[in-house]
Amino acid sequence: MFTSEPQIKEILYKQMYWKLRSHSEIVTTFLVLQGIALWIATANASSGMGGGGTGSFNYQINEYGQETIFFMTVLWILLSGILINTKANRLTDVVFVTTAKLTHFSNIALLLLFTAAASFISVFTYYFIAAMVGILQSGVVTDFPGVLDLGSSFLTWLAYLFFFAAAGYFLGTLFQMSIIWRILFGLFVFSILFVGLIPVTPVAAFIIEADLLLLLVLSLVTSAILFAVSILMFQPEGVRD
Amino acid sequence: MGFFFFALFILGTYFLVKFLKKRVSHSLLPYYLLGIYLFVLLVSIPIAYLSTEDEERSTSEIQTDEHVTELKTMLQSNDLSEFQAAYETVQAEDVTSVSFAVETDLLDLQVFISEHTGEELQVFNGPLLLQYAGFEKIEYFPTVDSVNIDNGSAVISLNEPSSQYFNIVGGPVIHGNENSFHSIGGRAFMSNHVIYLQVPEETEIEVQEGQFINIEYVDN
Repeated sequence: MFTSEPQIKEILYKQMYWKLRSHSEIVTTFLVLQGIALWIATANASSGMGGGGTGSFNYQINEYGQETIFFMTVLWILLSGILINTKANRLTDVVFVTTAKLTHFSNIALLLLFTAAASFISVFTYYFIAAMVGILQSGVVTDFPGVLDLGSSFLTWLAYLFFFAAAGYFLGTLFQMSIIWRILFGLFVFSILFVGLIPVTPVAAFIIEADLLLLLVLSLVTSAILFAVSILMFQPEGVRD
Repeated sequence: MGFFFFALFILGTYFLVKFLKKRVSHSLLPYYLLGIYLFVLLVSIPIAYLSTEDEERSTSEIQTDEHVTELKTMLQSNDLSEFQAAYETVQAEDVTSVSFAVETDLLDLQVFISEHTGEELQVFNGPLLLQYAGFEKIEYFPTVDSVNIDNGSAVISLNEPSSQYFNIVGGPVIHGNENSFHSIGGRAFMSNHVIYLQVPEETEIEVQEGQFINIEYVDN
């Protein structure tokens, strides 16, 4: 019984605003990781370096790219998705009169916001790398992407980060339900890395080879399912549950 | 080494998790820093622009099949002056098998001939071909001076000693089709051929075509 009916939108907005400030460490982590990744991407071209010659002609090719930035950012959003639902973070929800569903919604909205911002910013790291290479390295710099390339790049980043945010949130939810899931996940990772039980290559190839539209659809559908399942299976009745 | 990196990864992840779980004050400082970071990235756009060649900046425009087809037409019509390609004719009377060492080197300039039964082997190489391969700024790339055949291998020599450095900034991370390979992490888009070979149609060749080498069969 309420003296005045609370508006869901209003609560959601306030929760979002609150969480944006209380989870500002996510942004700090993003900045630190991007800084490290940019440094690695600019300074270390050894992975793609090629060279050769015919006696009178020598050449060296240095390849730079956003691989490091990409994987660092994926790691960041995955961990953020896992940890945003931890008990420590859920305790901050006690400042609001809220429901489990609303908490989920605000968490998801927050992750989406971070995902979109990270995607937008990450696209432009390309120029930073190109600028640094142009300044610091001898030789020529090739390629200057157009607006269409940037648009596609943004959508690609968005698709991947959105998916990994959802995957992280789903995992985080599982981890909150029982410690057994954490153990199982540990065994799962171990089996991939050391035993080779999971066919990683076909799965990775599927993700990489899909075209942009298909990737977007897959990402949206999969993420929606993961978020929905997370909401349905984990609805603690109290913030301390 | 792999274990070392794995251990480093686990350690990094651990500290990341510890930091992310830390409850901090409601500071807006990270958002201000984020704004500064974005500003720095945006400022780097004109710097990156100045670091590249003035002409034909759009990679998606210059490197298309259409351009390559046009190039092939020019080569077949012997309109070599259009693109200043070096031209070298190899008298290889008994050519039956030609293979190219491509391996991991992108600009391998060696041509190997294991048997000789054909009439003629023409070798094209030149700045424009490199441009079509994705290198937009070619200032001192030397032209082919001669092709020597010795002990079953032919080596293309150049007319002056030269060293070249190519910095290829791959990406941005993007999806594309087979003609514009960009994927996770991206790579510079370098379609088609640094070396173009035109050989008589009846010549039997066994070729290992690579990303930078193309063989064209022509009628005599």
